[in-house]
Amino acid sequence: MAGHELIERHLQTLAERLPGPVVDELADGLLASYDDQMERLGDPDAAARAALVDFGDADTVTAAFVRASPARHAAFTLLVAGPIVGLGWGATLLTANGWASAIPLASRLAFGLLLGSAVLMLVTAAREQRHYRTVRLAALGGAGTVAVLDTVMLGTVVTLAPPPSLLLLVALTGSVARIMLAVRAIPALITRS
Amino acid sequence: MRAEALKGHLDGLLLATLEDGPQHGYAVKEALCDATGGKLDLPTGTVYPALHRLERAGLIKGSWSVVGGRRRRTYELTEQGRRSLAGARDHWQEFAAVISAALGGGPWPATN
Repeated sequence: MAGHELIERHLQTLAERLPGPVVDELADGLLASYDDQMERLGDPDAAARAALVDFGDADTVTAAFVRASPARHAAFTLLVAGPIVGLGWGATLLTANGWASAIPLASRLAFGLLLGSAVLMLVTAAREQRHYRTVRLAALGGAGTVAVLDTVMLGTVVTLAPPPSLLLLVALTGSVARIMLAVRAIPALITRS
Repeated sequence: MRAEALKGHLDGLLLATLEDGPQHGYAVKEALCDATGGKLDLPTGTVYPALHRLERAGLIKGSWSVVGGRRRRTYELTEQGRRSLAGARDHWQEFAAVISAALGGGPWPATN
């Protein structure tokens, strides 16, 4: 059975927010509901309105997908891990006996800028309610940047070879764990369009 | 029935609708509605994210087909899903017995 203009408009709104395969699946469900309502009511306009009420508005449906998205979970996990790992590195650098001062100011500023943008992307992924793709891309960008920043920290330690300490070990462990978290999350963020 | 009342039970309810065989999203929603005499009538569009979550968890498996010119995704229980459903049933029976006993003023835990 052919669709209805109201149904098409609803699907178009969803298509602007959700991945193609998801919209295909939703379209099938919405049209099946419309077919049922047509059998029950017999009037296309009334059937379309009833099917849309039964289906849920675009904001509700999109928000439900966003809440369940792996991108959002990855962003939350990395946001929770951020202060813990940051505290480890902060304490390590504050108690470092001079080795941290060998890091050029420009490098520190660039690191800070990247860190700020990673946090911004992850916060966007965690807060966005209506645009699934935005959540996915923000989480992908945030996870990728976090992995790069942690790799840079590991590389810096290897290059400068500071004296070993418990704090440094904790910070390194935190960075390695966070790299693993980000790397595990990234494939799902890339493939789940 | 309010959606909040389903918290923690939706997964088991969705798995139960797939126990008798594969279903597509709209059919899952309708089966849930029918099984509860219309008391659980969730917005169709919100059933799909829950199905996707169950699929990611390995509890159900989805596959595409074309029906009436439309792409349709159908879901079926996996072995892990069947075990999870059995666990959800056991948990619910235990929970319901305890709450019934407490609300009814009977002994806790319920013995019969």
